[in-house]
Amino acid sequence: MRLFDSANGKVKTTIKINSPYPDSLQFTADGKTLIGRGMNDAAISLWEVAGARLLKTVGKPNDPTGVVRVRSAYSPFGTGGTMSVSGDGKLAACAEGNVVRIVDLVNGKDLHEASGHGGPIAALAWSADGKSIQSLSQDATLRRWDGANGKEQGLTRVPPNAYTFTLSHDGRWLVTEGTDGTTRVVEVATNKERQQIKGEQQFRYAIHAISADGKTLAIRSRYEPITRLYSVETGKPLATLGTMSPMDAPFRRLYQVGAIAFSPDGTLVAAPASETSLALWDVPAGTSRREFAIPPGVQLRDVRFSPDGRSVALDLSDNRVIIYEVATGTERRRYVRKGDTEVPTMPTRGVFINSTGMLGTRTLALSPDGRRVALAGDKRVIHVWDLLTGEELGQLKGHQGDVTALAFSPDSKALASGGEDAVGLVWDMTALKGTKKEPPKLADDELKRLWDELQTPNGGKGFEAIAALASTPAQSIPLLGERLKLPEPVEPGRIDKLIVDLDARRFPTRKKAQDELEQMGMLAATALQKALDGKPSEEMRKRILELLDKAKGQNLTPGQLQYVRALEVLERTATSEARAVLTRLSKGPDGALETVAARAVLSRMR
Amino acid sequence: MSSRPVALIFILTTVPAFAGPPAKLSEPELARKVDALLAERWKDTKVVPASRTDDATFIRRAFLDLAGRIPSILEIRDFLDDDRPDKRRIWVDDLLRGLRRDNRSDTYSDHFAAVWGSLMVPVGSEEQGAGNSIAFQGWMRNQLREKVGYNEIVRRILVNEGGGEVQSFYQANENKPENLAAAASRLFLGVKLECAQCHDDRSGGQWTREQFWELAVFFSQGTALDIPGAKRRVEARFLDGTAPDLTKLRNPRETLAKWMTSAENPYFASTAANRVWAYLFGIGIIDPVDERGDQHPPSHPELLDELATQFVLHDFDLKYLLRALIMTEAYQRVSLSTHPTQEDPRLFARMQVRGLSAAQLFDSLAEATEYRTERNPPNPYVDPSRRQSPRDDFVNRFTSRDRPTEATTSILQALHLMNGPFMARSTSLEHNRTLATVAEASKIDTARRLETLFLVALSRKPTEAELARLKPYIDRGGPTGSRKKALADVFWALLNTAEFRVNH
Repeated sequence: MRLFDSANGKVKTTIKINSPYPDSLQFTADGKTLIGRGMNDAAISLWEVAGARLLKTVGKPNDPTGVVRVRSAYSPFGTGGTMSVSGDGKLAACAEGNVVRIVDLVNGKDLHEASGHGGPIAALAWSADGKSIQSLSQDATLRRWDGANGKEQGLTRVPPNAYTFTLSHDGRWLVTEGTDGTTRVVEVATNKERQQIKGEQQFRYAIHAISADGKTLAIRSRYEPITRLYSVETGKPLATLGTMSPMDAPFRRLYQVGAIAFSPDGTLVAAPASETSLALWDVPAGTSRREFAIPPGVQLRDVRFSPDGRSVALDLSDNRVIIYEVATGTERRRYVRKGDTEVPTMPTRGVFINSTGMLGTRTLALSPDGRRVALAGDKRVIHVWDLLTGEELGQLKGHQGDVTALAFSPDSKALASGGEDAVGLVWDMTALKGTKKEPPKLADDELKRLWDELQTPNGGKGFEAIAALASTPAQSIPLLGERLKLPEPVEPGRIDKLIVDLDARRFPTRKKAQDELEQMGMLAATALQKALDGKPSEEMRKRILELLDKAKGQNLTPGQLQYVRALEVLERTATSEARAVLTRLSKGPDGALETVAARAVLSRMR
Repeated sequence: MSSRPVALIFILTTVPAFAGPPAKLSEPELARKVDALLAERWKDTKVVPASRTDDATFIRRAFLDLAGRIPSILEIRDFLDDDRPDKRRIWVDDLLRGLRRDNRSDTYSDHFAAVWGSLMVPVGSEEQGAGNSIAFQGWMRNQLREKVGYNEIVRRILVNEGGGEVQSFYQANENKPENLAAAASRLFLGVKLECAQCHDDRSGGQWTREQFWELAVFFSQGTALDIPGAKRRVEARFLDGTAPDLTKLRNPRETLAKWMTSAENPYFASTAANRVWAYLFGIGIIDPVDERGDQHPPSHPELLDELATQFVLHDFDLKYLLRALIMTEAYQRVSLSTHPTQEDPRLFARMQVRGLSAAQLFDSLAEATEYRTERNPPNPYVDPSRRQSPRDDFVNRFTSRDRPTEATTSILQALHLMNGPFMARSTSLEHNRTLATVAEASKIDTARRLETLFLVALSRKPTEAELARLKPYIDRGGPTGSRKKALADVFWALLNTAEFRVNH
């Protein structure tokens, strides 16, 4: 492990770790400690980031063959496969062979040793409440341990022949695929197999992902641009996403394997729509909401949602990273890897299991503060851009092999990278400074123009306006505070009257009703749905469907777009003044899109 | 150096010198001028022009031309019930804005990206060709959304500015200087130079082989080219005979683009204006559009000059031209011949019936049958056509290079429509929500059900005669005695009428 000073690129400290593929690099929540382990290595090391000092090593290197089968393990809570940090950042649970060790990250002391597994541990994770740990082992059991004392609390049997494991974020469900091609859903608490999904040929050795709310299971074919959504609870097929590639396809996109991601709120999933496009699909309806072209011959290496769910980043093999705005489906910004001339013939080099449990390298990372994007380029280089200005802040060079894992620390101040050279590096992000100077004070008409620009359907221009406003909080926040109004409460009976007016004979009456209902958004959704269920006329049905579609917030009106982008400005500045504006807006009428959005921002800022 | 009569032609066809600079006309002013110039010609031949269309025909025509599909039932109903006196203008403005019901669909850019894109990079049957066309149309869509002027769009193509997508134009022409020169002069100047590639143009044209290769030099890497088999070397030279100063610019195509797209180049604006005219009226003022020359004189030279002049004065704004032309009386005339003097299509005394393009036909069918998945892609930057979708299958099969007024493919389209499984499925009660809703809606009578189906399929209400014939058929339940099935039969039949397949 080398710790680099990214200001001058010199090595500060080198610590040798004796295993390749450090796939389990993880920061504690305060960003002060880095914990790492190699893929084939049961030893866990804790380093103090500031002093580049090894704090502690837990466990001993294992027989490498002993844990090979854990490659498909998935740990949903932390970023590490066989190591998980508690939510408060104070404790770590580490797998050491058949044993779970609970380590105090503050002083490096071993606290408890949880034993009971009859085989090496494949994955483990803290529960969301931070009280217990779940571990999955090759002994075909999933065990739950008390985090306070390491005592076993329960055991769930893993279906036979299972070779991939996926746990839902709430730890309630365990999903496995067996060598017979059958996907099984097991309820962890009751130890009962709830669902069995027989795999068709194209879904053998599939990739599984569960939405953050634990309700939807996505099974992504590795041979075809096709994904199926299932209800985790009932096993019912919900939707089929994408189209089968034509039989004469020159070569199949077997290599797009890693390219699937659920949005943080679980309402969208990014999955292929065809051989040459990736779409954002509604979960669970499976309606394609946005679609992004992937030029012929170009491969999608990775896809990631930003932590705020507003953007989706595509890493393409033609040296471009494109960030799209989810709200409009248009491009916010693109970053070009310069100096990387080698276009990989296969998009996933050294396919292995990464932190999110899917096959394929993770080549992209978006910082939690929404300011930076990091990309594993070719030629062992990591590119870091300022997300807002688009400026390339640095090219980090230090790895002796391809970079295969990237993660920002929770405070966004450090970036950890792992590579095929069996080295994990930590980069100080605070040392990377853009050349762009403090923005000048904006003239009043410029400020007004930026405010207007927030409603453009063009994601790029909208993003420029967001960036400009976010970089001048002293001026922009008073403006936004003044312009962002609480949505008007609706008088009783008004919505029903408007719905009747939708079918009026006179066009102006219809138009007025339609415009007003559109403005109400989700407030009118329940009444609209009721009207839809009552066998309306054809025109009425279509008008209601259009309104419901817009109300879901997927097709924002220019005014709504302006509103949510203004909220993004407030979130990015994160000042106390911005928080005060957000607090006021969060007190709007329940169900209104504006209120929902303001509350979501506040909850992320906490 | 060979004699260059063409230089003279350029000078002669340049907008004649006015006492002052030409006046900039607003869209309504240009529309009136166009109508006046057409009417002037009719005086000599005593032409009686056709009457103005009804609202339903007008809006269907405008939707097909500007959005590439028929209006939805909501749109047609709203337009018919709209009582604003200038509603035609208001709705055309909406169409030119791309309807913009939401942020993701811009019907104008989607449709015209395909119109311009397939012209410049035709959809090829080979894999690479199809990819090229799709990528290029995506780029074109962006230009249109960003309201880039036509001259700037062409400049970007000629200097290959805009990334891999513009490169498609070069790939489609195999990156060969001779192919690129031929394509550029044909597309942007309306000059068909291909014949002059191998020999001086003997088809009545005025282009020499030397001129062809002089133009091709701009697309080569150097400043001179050998004419194949002629043991002669030529240097870059514009079609008007002037020679560029290549030493001042790194990219020779930059020089060519400047010359070609210049406001002073009389062929550039005039070719674009003629193309837009031909698109809307089914036949060009110079026709064929790509074959400018003595063989194909313009039917209304002064009209074409005026359009070109105004196009330049309005910064090559395509929407300006479209808006002005659609607001002309000429565009708003019925297509039905009402007087023998209307027969010559080049007099524009009535609208020509135009066959729908494959994409227009498919997208209209999709609108009528509520076929959602493959239509109107959610992302405006992505081409709607994806291989293997029913839309691609259809578009690839029926994409025609014929003039729209001679739509020979219509018969094929008709047969495919009537027999295809897509059609059968789309008009079945189980799969078509529109049909199911019309059949099941409570509180409406048969006449109203029929009216809905007519509006959905033909964008108009049924005539009294049609109602009188069809109402008993529905009430009887057709041959099976089922009222719902009878409605489905009527819907299927409406979608298979000639009226549905054409822009009339």
